[in-house]
Parts: sequence; structure tokens; C-alpha cells
Amino acid sequence: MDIGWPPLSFVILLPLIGGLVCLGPWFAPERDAASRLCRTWSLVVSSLTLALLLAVAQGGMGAPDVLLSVSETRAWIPSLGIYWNLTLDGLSLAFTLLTCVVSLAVLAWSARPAQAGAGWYSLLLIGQATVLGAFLATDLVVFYCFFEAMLLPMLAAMALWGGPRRFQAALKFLLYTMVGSVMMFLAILYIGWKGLGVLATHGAETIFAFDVTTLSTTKMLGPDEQLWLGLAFLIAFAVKTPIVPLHGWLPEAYREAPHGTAAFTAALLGKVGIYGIIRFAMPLFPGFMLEAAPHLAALGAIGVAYGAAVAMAQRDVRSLLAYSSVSHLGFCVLGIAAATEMAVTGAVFQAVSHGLVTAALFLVFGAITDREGTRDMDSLGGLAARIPVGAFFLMVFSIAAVALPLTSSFVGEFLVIIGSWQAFPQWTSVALIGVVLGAVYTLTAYLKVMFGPEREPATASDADLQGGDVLVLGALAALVIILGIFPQGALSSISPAIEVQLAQAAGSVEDEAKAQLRAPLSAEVTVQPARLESAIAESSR
Amino acid sequence: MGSGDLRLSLVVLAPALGALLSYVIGRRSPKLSGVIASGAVLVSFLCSVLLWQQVGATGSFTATLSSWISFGDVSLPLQLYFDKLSAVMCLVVTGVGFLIHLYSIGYMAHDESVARFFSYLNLFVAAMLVLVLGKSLPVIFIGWEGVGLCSYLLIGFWFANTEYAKAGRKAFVMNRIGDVGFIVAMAVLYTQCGTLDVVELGQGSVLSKLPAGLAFLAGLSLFVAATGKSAQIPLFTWLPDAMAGPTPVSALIHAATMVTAGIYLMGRMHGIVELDPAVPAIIMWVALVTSAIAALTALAQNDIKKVLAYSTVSQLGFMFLAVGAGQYAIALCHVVTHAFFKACLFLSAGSVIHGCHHEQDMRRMGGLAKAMPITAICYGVATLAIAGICPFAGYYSKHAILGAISGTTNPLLVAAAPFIGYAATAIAVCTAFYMARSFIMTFLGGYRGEGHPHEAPLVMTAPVGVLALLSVIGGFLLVHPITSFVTGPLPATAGEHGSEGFVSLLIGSLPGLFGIALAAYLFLVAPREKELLRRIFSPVEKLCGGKFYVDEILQVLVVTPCRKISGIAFRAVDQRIVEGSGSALGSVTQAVGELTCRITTGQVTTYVLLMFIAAAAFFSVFSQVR
Amino acid sequence: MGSVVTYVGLSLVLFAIGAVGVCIRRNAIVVFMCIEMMLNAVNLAFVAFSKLQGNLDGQVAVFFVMVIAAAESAIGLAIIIALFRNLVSVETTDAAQLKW
Repeated sequence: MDIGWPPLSFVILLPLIGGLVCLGPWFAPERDAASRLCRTWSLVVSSLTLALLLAVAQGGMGAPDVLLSVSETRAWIPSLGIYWNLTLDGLSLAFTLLTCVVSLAVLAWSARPAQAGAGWYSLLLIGQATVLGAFLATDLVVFYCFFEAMLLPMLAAMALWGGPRRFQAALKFLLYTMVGSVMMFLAILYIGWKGLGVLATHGAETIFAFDVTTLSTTKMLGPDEQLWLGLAFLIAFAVKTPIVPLHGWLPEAYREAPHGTAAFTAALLGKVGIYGIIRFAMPLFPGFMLEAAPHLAALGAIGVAYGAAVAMAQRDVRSLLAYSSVSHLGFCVLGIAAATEMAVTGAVFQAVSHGLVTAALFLVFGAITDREGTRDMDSLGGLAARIPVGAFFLMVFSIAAVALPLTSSFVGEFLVIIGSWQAFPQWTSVALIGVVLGAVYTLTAYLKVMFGPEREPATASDADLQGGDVLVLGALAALVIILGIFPQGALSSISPAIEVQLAQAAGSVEDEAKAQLRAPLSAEVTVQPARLESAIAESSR
Repeated sequence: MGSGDLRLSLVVLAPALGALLSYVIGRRSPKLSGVIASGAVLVSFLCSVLLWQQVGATGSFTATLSSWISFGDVSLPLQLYFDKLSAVMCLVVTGVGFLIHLYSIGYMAHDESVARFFSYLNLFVAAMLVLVLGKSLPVIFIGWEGVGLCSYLLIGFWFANTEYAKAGRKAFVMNRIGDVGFIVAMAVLYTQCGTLDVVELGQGSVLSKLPAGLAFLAGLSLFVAATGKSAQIPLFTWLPDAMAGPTPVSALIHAATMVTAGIYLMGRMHGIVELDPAVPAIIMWVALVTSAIAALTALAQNDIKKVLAYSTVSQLGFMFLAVGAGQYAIALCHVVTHAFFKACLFLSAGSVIHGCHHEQDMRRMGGLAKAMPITAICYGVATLAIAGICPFAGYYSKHAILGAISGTTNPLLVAAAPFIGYAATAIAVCTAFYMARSFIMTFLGGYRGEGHPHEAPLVMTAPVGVLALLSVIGGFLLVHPITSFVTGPLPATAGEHGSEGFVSLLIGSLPGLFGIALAAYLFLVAPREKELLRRIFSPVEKLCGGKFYVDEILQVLVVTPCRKISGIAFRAVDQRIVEGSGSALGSVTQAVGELTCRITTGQVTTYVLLMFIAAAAFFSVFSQVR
Repeated sequence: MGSVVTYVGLSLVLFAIGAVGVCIRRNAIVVFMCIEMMLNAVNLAFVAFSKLQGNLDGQVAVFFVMVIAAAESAIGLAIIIALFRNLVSVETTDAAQLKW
């Protein structure tokens, strides 16, 4: 598709520039007026981004049986083989759309930290841009830049407007993710260095030494390399997702962050981990992923059960949501480990659905707890009669969290369970414990907050949710239900992309077996250093 | 089948739309809410009747609503399927449902949230219809979870009372445990057979793909699912607690329709249930124990709704006895007759509660036959029906079940069949006894309560009357001949149960008559002997009154350990180890930082010394490389 | 040939004295003088090797070093004066603000 300008870069640049523009009014003297202006501005920018993304996807779709694939390439550091490569296929479309919808919802939500002002919109827009970048990049270096960059706006928002222990929470979040991503960065450097050498011998004009699609076709990594490099990638993604037991940063981060940031982080940042495993780890390290699959499935299933069990013991609403996220995302991990088309498609669908539901739950619970002045579920109660609209939406999203049929979560969980049963019936059974416990903690939370006798109002106002917020929640609820009743469109857009990823992985595994029979590949690798040395010798003479 | 499509969709969509309208319009004008809701169910009923007349013995209609979970080679469309089996369930759900909707207009007239009530009720009917009409297991699961959700919402309808809300949660969670069985069954069947379509899963060629062990697992999982919905051991304790909901809800959901979903599932999937003979054997024993425990518990209950609730559990056990014996048609027959007389009983009880100003304790009732004669007659008729007295509906189905038990051909059950038969007969006596007891305590003798009980309005008595009539003639409608009404989808029943001589009819009614006579003797004629018996059997009474302590046992064995594990997982594992390791990561970094800080003394001489050492080290390393 | 070894040996000794002086003396002016001594030790080595090689490269380098040393002494003395103005002392141990 050639339309004269790079559409995908614009999808990233639009919110980025929009966010940077908002930085100005942040320091403006007229804070209130500036912040109102920024609110409108950010909503316009975010809506435009969504519209642009949809337009690009629509344009890329073309004929009905052609795979969706829009890509663009631009030289960045060509001497090192680093290119600005972006691709929009079914897989990234699912996650980018989620990003745009959740960002718009969080931006439109009326409640925000009291001191935030224009900076709030700025950080959220920049956050949206970085997450979009991570979901679109196929070049490992570009991906890594976005992967790191998206931390910053969230950390800043958390440290600026968070709860009393916000610095500890932010520091912990930073340390956890850095430990993972530094290892991944080293792995990326190694892969690129090796790729540069291997691809140079192929005689291609431009060398995409860090591009995942190109690299996965070379099959240059031996089993040992795959083990160490794959482990580095997997740990980085596992921290981000998070996969038990690497979720230590999550409860505190979710407890201390402002509602919007928590919603954004929970709904989007974790999904980058899921996406990264499918997009990068599976095609790059197919042999390793195959070996790791049983362990990954075990971790996923244990995560489902463990997250649910721990969630049962929570009194703080935010902690409950944090552990329920661990539980729900365990299903994604299980599905990815099973590596069947059905299970992985289900995992992606579950991730998207969890993003919508969790964001909504953070917002609704946020509104309720702000209103009552406490997040302790034991001191809440009897609200159903006083805020019927809030009670209605909380019920809808609780139902979705429990994954009842005709909500999007059911489709995801169902596909993961059915798809994983073939590969790992034992671990799928463990995950089913989480299905029961999920109903227990979700309904218990609802019961404690909404049911029971009415209490003395903590605040004088008896205000229920109002206009704009109802619209936001209504839109999210409609999406959750529409995706639950008519998931076929989304599924048939996601699954071909998954098929491609799986085929790459499977193809690599087969070829690897053949290659090992023939000859080792290592001879090709030494070419590059050898040439360098001869050049030095020549110049010194 | 073009016309079938639209009407079939309408069967489900009418109450679904009704749920929306009755709430939206009902918020403005509460009176309209009940009318809209009842109308929606009536439309659904009429469509079902039309379809039923056209469907024939082996025909079917299919309607596709959406392609749903379809992509790549996965195809699980949202399809409805109407055959003789679904027809019977549809007619019961919409027919009885309509009557109960009508009744609710009167019963809920003074409630604040009447619109919400009717909306939930209509939603329930829609979900139940999806359950019985689903063409594939996932579609059935939509209804399966939908009715669970509505049941949860309606049990906790008066949510200001925390106990009611907790009862709703209990129902949902226990059902959820059963749902895991459903999900496992779907996973096994899809993995092995490659389809979840109920029609295809009935074919021998598809079923032969199931290896022996997995056939057992699939059958057992389906039964686990059924135990959750249909309140069998060990998942039955939610049903008595579910009586927290408004009485029409208890009648519709927790007696007539939703709780029979398990029986329907067994009938629908009978091919899989029967694959391994161990599964029907397990069903038979579980059903027998459930039925016995529930019947004994019902003997010692004083709350009128609790008596009916335990009686429902017991009768569901009876249905599962027929399932275990492989006679699905007979089980379904009992589903239908039970729907008639149990709905009638519950609605009459509702009228009584309504008339006695929300009094549910039978010890504070009595002599109500004078104040509310119509209700008394209806309750009496339904009591005779449930006791299995000859011309009434319950007789036919109950008698057929006893016959089915003795006729079982399951190799694992043949030896025990006579014992199970005797036990079931004893339970039948028991049933007659406690139902007669409840009738006597409520309607005969002198009034023991306060205030002035009054008869219910016409909008309530009329549906009860119709149900009472059905309890009388329901048996004839279905039983002549008993086997034919669902022979298409279900295996034919062996033997004749409908056409017997007068003497055998009398003998068949004997257990019921004996139970009623015993109750009449003890409660009306000889109260002193009753007291004597009570004293002799006081430990037994205590056990029955304590509901066999099943709740307490589950509490100790399941709930408390779960809470404990959850607490340990949070406090010991998560807070200590996981969050601790995170903090350790931080403290290690900090410690290393503090250590390296020591070098930075601020003394120039230290820095210079370090520089020299570093330079020396650098040169010595590089000189060795050369 | 022996003479080169002698010169380089002397240069080494001078450098070592200078280095030790920088490390252990506390008076900034003495430290400064020691630095100068190290520079001159290097100069000596340059000249010696230049003689050995038979070309002028080393001697050219010496001129650069001397220029740098001149510039350095100008700035260095200025720093010491500034130090004295602030601390009323030229002891290096007193100028210990540069730490964590």
C-alpha cells in the first residue's frame, strides 16, 4: 500500500506530539483554564489517533481473503542494521485498538488526581504513543526503545500523584522491569551482532539485522543460544505481564498509582509482555519455546489459581484487582504455552478483553472509593440502593471478569481452555480451580461493596456516576458484550496473524532439525570479524 | 424450515427483549412492567406451541443467530435447535413461566423494585430457553450460566439483607463448581471428537472416537455439572438457602425449571452418559443418597418454603434415579409433572406467606383452610400429586421411575436394583408424610399466628388454580402413552407403565396413601403418640433438623481450608517471599551502592591513588595480551 | 646503550617520587610540584628515547608537554589561590566537599 506518507509512524507521532504540546500548559500560570483546554485537546488527539488507526487498518484490509498487513520501513542506523520497521497485522491491530480505546476512556474519565492539571493529559498521551510504538515495531531495537520508554510516563504519574508509598512503588516497579529488560537488551545486541554477520553473507542490499521477521527466517541460533537468549526475553516479558512469581512489583504499583494510571498500566503495559512473547519470543526461539512450554503452562496455570487464591484474602479493592489481573493473565500464558492456533488466538482475545474489563473495573471502583473515602471493602457496603448506575456497571464488569458467556472474557477463556486441554490437560485442570475461586472473590467484593444494609453516608453527596463517565463505561460495556456475542470478526482478524507466527515457529523447528543433521551453521558467523582484521592489516602496511 | 427460524428465534428473543422493556418502561410505570414481562413470555409460549405442533416425532428446526466463535477451522455458531425434547422443556418453561409471571404481578405489587424483578425474571426465561434450545454445548453453556446469574440476582433480590445476598453468592459459587465439570466435558469432547454439536455428539461414529477412560471422564464431568444445577450431593446445600428469594422465584427457578437443567443435560447427552456403565451407576447411588437425605431433612423443617425446597431436592434425586436407570423419557416425564405440582405448591405457599403477612413458620399458621379456601384446595391437590396418589400427575411419573429402577439393565446395578427400589419406595412414603404434615400444619387445626390472614387476589389464585388443574390431569396428557412424547431424541422406554388395571393402580398409590394416612393419624388423631415417637426418635430428629450437618461438613472440609490456603498464599507466600524478594532486590542494590560510596572519601589523594592503581592494572593486563 | 637505561631509570625514579608525593603530601603546592616532577620525568624519557631512535619526534612531544605544563601551572596556581581564599588553607584534606 503506497499512500505517500508513513501512516503507522503517524499513529505513533500523533499522540506523542499531542502529549508534548500539553507539556507547555503544564507550566502555565492559569492552571485551571489550561487544564480544561488540555482535556479537550487530548480527547481530540486520542480520538484522531483511533480514527487514523481504523482508517489504516481499513485501507490495509483490501480484499477479504488477503491478510491484513501494513508495514513501513525507514533507515535509522543502517550501518548497524537498525531500521524503523513498523508492521500492522491482525495481532498488532488487536492490541493497538485496545490501546487507543483504553487511552480514550482514561482520558475521558472525569476523575483525576487533584494536583495533576495539564500534565496528566500530557503523560497519558505520551504513554499511549509509546505503547502504540511497542505494539507496532518489528525491529528489536525500536521495540526495545518503546518497551523502556513506556515505563517513564507511568512512573512519573505514579511518583507525582500517587498514594503515600508512591516512591517505593515506583522504584520497585522500575527495578523489576529494568532487571528484565537489561537482560533482554543484551540478548538483542547479541542477536543483532550475529544477524549482521549472517545476513551480510546473504548479499541482501539492506540488512535488517534486528528485524524479527527477517531474523526468524535465518534460523541462525543454535539450541544453547536459544536457551540463554530466550530466557532473557522471557524474563523481561514475564516481569511485564506479570507471570507468577515475578509479579512482586504489581500489588504495590496498583495500590499507589492514581486510578487512571492504574487502569492504563493494568490494561496495557502487561499486554506488551503477552504480545512480546507471541511476536518476538516464539519466532526467534522456536526450539526453546517448545522446551519451555510445559514450564510456561505450569506457571500460567499456577498463576491463575494462585492469583485467585491470594485475591480472596484481600480487603483493599486495588489489591483485589491486582491479584485478579495475575489470575486472568495466567490464562493468556497458558494459551501461549499450548501453542495451538485456537489457544493462542484465545490468549490474545483474553488479553484484549482483560484490558477492557480491568480498565473499567479500576475506573468504577475508583469512582466508588473516591466517593466513600476508603478502599477497604469491609468498611464499604449497602451502596447498591444509593448509586444504582454504579452498581449496574460494576455488576456488568464483574460478570465479565467472572467470564460468563456473552461477555468477551468468556470467548477468550473458553478458547484457551479448550485449546490448551489437548496439550496440557493437567495444567488446564489446575487453571479451572481459578475459575471457581474467581467467582468467589469477584462476588464477595461485589457483595461487600454493594449489598447489605445501607450505611451512614461517608460523604454528604449522594451523587451517582454522571454523564460523561456513564458514557465511557457504557461504551466499554458495549464493547465487552459486542465482542462476547459477535467475536467472529475480531477472531478471524487475529487468527491468521497467529497462524503466521506459529508457522514461523514450526517451520524453524523443522528446519533446525534438518540443519543439525547436515552441518553446523557456525562457519558463516566468523566472516565479519575476519574481514575487519584484514582491513586493519592492510591499512597498517 | 424458513418459518421455523424466525419463530424459533422469537421464542428466545421475546423474553430477552421483554427483560429490557419491562425495566426501561417499568421504571416509569411499575404497573406495566409485569404486563410486558408476562406478555413476552406468552409470545414465547405461543411460538413454542406452534413449533411443537409442526415438529413431529423426529423432525427438528434449526435457527442460526450468529456465527459466534468461528474462525479458521473452529466453528461454534450460535444456533438454536428445536426437537421433541426441547419442545417439552420449552413448553414447560414458557407455560409454567407465564403462570408464575402472572402470579408475580399480584405478589410483587407492593415492592419498590418491581421493574427490576420482572426484568430479571424475563432474563431468566430467556436464558433457560437458550439452555434447552442450544444446538451445541457452548450455546447450552450460555443458558446454563445465564440461569445461574439470574438465580444469583433473584435470590439476592432483597440485597439489603446481607444473609440473602450471601445465599445468592453461595448458589452461584456452588453452581460454578458444577460448571467446571461442564467445561471439562467440553474440553474432552472437543479434543477427542472435534465437535461440540449435540446432534453430532449423539452419533455413534463420533462417540466411538472417545477412548474408554475419557468417556468415563466426559460422562462424569457432565454429571458433576448436573449436580451443581440440579442440587445433588455434594452441591445441594445452596438450594434450601436459595429460598431467600421472593417466592415466585423459588417456584419458577428453584423448583420448576432451572433445577431440572441437569436432567435435561443428561437426557440431551445420554449417548455420552451411557458410554461407560460406571457413570449411570454413580448417578444412581448419588441420586438415592441425595433423595433420602433431603426427604429425611424435610421431615423436621418448620419453614414452609424449606420443606418444599428439600422436597425439590428429593424429587430431583428421583429424576436422577430414572436417569441412572437409563430411562430418560421417564425422568423427563417427572420433570414435567414435578414442574406442575411443585410450582403449584410454591405458589400456594407464596399465597399463604402473602396472606399471613410474610410469616413462613408453619408453627405459627394453622387453620388457614377457612381463610383461604382456594389456596388450600390447590395445595391439597398438589400434595396428593407429589405423594403419588393414583389419578394425579405425580403418580404416573413416580410409579414409572420405580418400575424403571427394577428394570435396569446396567451390569453394575442389576444386583442392587431391588434394594434401590425398596429405598425409593420408602422415600416415596416419606415424601407423602412430610407433605401431608405441611398441609395439616398450615391449613388444618386452629390458627396459631397473629393478625388476620386473607385470601390472595384473583391474579394470584388463577395461575395457582391452573397449575392445580395441571397437577390433576398432567399425568393423562403425558402418559398416554408415556413413552411417545420424546421418543425421537431419547431412547425408547422399555415396558408399559400407563395401561394397568384398577388394582395395580391402587397398589401403586399405596406408598403415598400410607404416608398421608400416617401423617393424618399422628397429627390429627393421636398427638400423644406423636410426642412419644418424637421422644424416641429425638436423635434422628436432631440430625434431620440439623440438615445432616452437610453445610457444617462442607464448611470444615472445603470453605475453611480454602480461606486458610488463601490467607497463607497471601501472607506467607506473597507478602514474604514474592514481595520480599522484590524488596531484597532493592536492598541489595542499595547495599552495593552504599559500599561503593565508601571509596568516595572526598580526599584527592585517595582518588589519585585509585587512578594509579587502575592505570597500573590496565597496563599490566594489556601487556599480557600482547 | 647503557646510557639510555640510566636516563629511563632516572625518569622512572623521578616519576615514582612525584607519584608518591601526589599521593601522600597534603599541601596543595607540594602536590602541584610533584605533578610537575612527574611531567618532567616523562620529558626526560621522551628525550632519551628520541636520542635512541635517532629522530626528533620525542623532542617535539617534549615541547608540547612543556606548553601544557605552563598552562597547567597557571590554572593550577589560580585554583590554589581560590582554594586558599575559601578555606584559608591549602591542605588537600580540608577540600573534601566532593563526596556523597
